[in-house]
Amino acid sequence: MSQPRDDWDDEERDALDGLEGELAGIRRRHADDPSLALLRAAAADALPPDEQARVTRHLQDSAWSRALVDGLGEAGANDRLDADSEQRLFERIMREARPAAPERVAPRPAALRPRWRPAMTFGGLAVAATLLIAVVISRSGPDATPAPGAAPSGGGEPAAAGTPAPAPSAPVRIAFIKPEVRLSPSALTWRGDPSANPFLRELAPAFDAYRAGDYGRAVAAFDRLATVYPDSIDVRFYQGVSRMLAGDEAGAIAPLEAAARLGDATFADDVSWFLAVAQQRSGRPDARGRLVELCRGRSRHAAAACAALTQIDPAPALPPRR
Amino acid sequence: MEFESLYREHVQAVYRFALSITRRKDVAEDLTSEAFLALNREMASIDPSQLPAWLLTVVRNRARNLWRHQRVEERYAIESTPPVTRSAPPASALEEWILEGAGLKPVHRMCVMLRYVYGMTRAEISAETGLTDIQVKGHLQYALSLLRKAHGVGQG
Repeated sequence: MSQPRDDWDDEERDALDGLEGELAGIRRRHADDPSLALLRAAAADALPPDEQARVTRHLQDSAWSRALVDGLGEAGANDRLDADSEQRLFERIMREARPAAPERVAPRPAALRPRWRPAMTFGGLAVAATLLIAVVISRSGPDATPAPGAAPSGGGEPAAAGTPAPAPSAPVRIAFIKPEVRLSPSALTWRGDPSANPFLRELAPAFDAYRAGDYGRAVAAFDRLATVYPDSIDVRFYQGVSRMLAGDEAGAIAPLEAAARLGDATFADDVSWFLAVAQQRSGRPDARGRLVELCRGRSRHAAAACAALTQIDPAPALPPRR
Repeated sequence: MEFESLYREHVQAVYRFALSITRRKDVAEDLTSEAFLALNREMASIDPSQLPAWLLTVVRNRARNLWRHQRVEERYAIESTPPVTRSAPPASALEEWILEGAGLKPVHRMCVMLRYVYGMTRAEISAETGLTDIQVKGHLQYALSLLRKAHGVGQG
């Protein structure tokens, strides 16, 4: 974890004046968090099983790392290959694919590894920092905790060509991480002064229960609020998520669909993602299409949706790597 | 369906997924290339309805293998084995503000964390996140303006 840089500009120094002690405390608290690279890979379920489980647990416990991971997801939502790069990569693939002999077209880990290493070691950040990624996928229970005995999937090479993918030992359930409480702009500006806002006052007990992990109470409170404020994105979204956290994924679908119909741009990414999760966990066939759409789109949950697809679809049938 | 059509249809999702794992464009291209090479080899046996999940799984499995290689080669270097401790509850108003401050979007929180807690330069944040330098600067300025209001600091 780095110390404050000397490159802060005047605006930064001014805004952070007097907060250096608190910043130092935050640095100490998170000095042992997993590195950025680990969190990034864990969010894509791309770590070996033991590390995946460890970092997943950390993400479930750490609002700090989850927030970082959310931010990375949002920042990466617009990543794209430009047209020239897309074409160049296609030509490269065709060049390498042309000689049909398997030994010539086999991927070249030796060539890849040197490029990967710096990405993993992550320069000066390796020792210091920590963080990343959004939603981790696993076979898990309603609170996103891996189910007992359910090992993270994958970890080995895909099955041999023509070999059916092994049936999963348990139904795959997309894991999700509890979203932090945040309010829509419309809620925050409702009748001006938030302290005099009756809507916020009524929301407070529901959010208190939600924050405390008392999802039964949260569901009851949000259900009640939904009858009074049926068109509130805040109510509908957290009503759905609270039901998911209470283990009622099927019951979460209706409020999340209602939230989707409200078309609130602030919550759109989250609504779509949690609706996909609720549908998948409920065994709804439309979940896959929603996940594909998310994976291919520009949601901050795109990477998580892609990772989810690797869990719920059959594993590739490929020849063993040499 | 022809290979090129499948490539055009799925390459962006596959590349972005790879980039989300590595953040390195060259490595992401390598992983993407490997996935499509595998698809090219297995075209005859692949049901296009399995895409893009099939391609994404190749990327994920390759990434896992690379992590394993990395771990073995570096003999459990520090990057692979930091203790994963549970973060303590927020102990300061500033940390609570970073996590829950009204008006902050995830990308703002992340920029604040990377800049002021992890000590990155704006260029490092840009490289690590894919945001442009101008975007990073804008996000930080916005966040700091909210911080000023929330904490009443730096106000003349």
